Amino acid sequence: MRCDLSVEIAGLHFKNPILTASGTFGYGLEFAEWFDLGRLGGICTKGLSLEPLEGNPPPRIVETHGGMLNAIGLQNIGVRAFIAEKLPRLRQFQTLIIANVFGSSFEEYLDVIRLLNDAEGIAAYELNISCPNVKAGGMEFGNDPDEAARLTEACKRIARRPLIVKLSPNAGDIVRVARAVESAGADAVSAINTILGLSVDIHTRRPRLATGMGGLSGPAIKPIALRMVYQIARAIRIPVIGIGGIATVEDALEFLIAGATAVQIGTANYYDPLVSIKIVEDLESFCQRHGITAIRSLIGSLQMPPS
Amino acid sequence: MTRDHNVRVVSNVRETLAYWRLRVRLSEPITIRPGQFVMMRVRDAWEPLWRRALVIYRAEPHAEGMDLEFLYKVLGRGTAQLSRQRPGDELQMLGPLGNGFPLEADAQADAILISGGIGLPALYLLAEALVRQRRRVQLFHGEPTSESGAPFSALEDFARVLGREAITLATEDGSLGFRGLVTEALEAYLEHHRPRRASLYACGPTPMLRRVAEIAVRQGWPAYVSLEARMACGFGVCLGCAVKTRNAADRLPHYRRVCVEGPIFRAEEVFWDEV
Repeated sequence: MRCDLSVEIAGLHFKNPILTASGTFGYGLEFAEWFDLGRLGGICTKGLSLEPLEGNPPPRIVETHGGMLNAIGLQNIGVRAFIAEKLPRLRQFQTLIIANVFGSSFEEYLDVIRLLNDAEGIAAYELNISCPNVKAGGMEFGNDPDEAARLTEACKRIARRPLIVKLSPNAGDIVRVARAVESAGADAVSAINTILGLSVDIHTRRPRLATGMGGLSGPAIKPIALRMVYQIARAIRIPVIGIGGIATVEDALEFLIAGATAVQIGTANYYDPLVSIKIVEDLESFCQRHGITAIRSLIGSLQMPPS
Repeated sequence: MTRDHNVRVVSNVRETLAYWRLRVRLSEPITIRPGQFVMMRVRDAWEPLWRRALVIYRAEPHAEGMDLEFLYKVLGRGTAQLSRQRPGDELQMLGPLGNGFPLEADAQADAILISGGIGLPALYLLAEALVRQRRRVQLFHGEPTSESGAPFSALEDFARVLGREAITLATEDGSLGFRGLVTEALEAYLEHHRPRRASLYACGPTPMLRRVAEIAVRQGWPAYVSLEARMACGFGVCLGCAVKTRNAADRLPHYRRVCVEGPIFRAEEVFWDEV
């Protein structure tokens, strides 16, 4: 008996619920030498801006207990170079390509989407309104439900593909932002982006990152991410894609049970480039062992004690 | 080809106060360029999060595959955990990674190798390759003091390849060899011998590399430096190990990845104020 691992999000058919998270998977092609990208449910690209970005000065990363802080600063080759140099090879893989979109202004988000609209082989857009590492854009949209809704609405109006909005845990109330972008027309949300954090060098009494604070990711944030995904999934009707410290099939299953329709693997790609494929394989064998015929049956099956 | 190899610990011993030597066995030989590194992780360990970057010190193909050796210092959680691995234990070794030293260049020139502390292991395979090319090779190695346990057995390895007279040890406190910085020992040598032409290859602390870069500019010689940076992945996707360099083509500053475009850079490409 084979388990049906497929899930639907915004009319898109994902062959399995295992995706890779933006910023941890390059432009996808970097991993093509490790495994067949076609075995993944989907790939989220590095955040794409209108013009290339050089990123922040080093040091940009620091290891913490069970996680890491980063302040890369959205270094990327720009949306035009992505379309010209990366996409032609990337779209040959039998997986769904989700372009992660970033702008330092309202208009820039729209410009990036317009360029992507004309490109072949992209399944959906993921709106990055939650990057803690850039001065303009990112967080200023992600932390305010009204701003997030305004941007979502404008992007939705021109986007020729489903729109996923990636939410920030640094917002005062992430559930309110989720409700706001749902009302504004988002087709799905993904949560969570990194949690703003700080690491201090006690000898120099300076931050360990050149820019000061950075985004915390890795297994350390999983319980927080899981709680947020659970709360968001209960509050909205559109699908939630769970992100946050997923490193094993058990982690992925926790998110599905808590209400995520799919998940994204992030930081674990760094220390194990094969981890996402291992999780796909382990998900198949988990379902077989437990007689689960469709992974969909697990989604949102969490039984919370009455409050 | 770069792969995630399951390797077995053959030996893992503390050779001096500061230096450990790890030997692992691969089931098949791999091709390595001098100066390349691996990302090492204790199998199924959850902490620390990142693998540890280790430069490949020595490589020895044999009937059962290949043995690789690494020299390391115990500096934090990752290397402390590595030091507890016993013969037979399994490690996950991603590699080989990085560009490695260029060997084709400057084939006629003498080669001068300069290392400080744990920079030494990056230069062994290079020394072997240069000797195979019949280049004249000198090694200058610096330590703060011999009391902290200089890597004597590793220097013996180099002596077997280069000859003892080709090696200069400098200690800052003068407890052994030249008294002073390794770059001062190098300058004293240049002053005395005035070689016509040489290329410099260096790995060590940033101030040392910077001084080597200055010496190279003054002499009009090429210098190749192996840089170190915090790395989460080692294969080019985390973008954590960025270093600001001058692009050879347009001379403009660009961030490049130490793990993929490095770890070896031409010294004049590096913005030393921002390393």
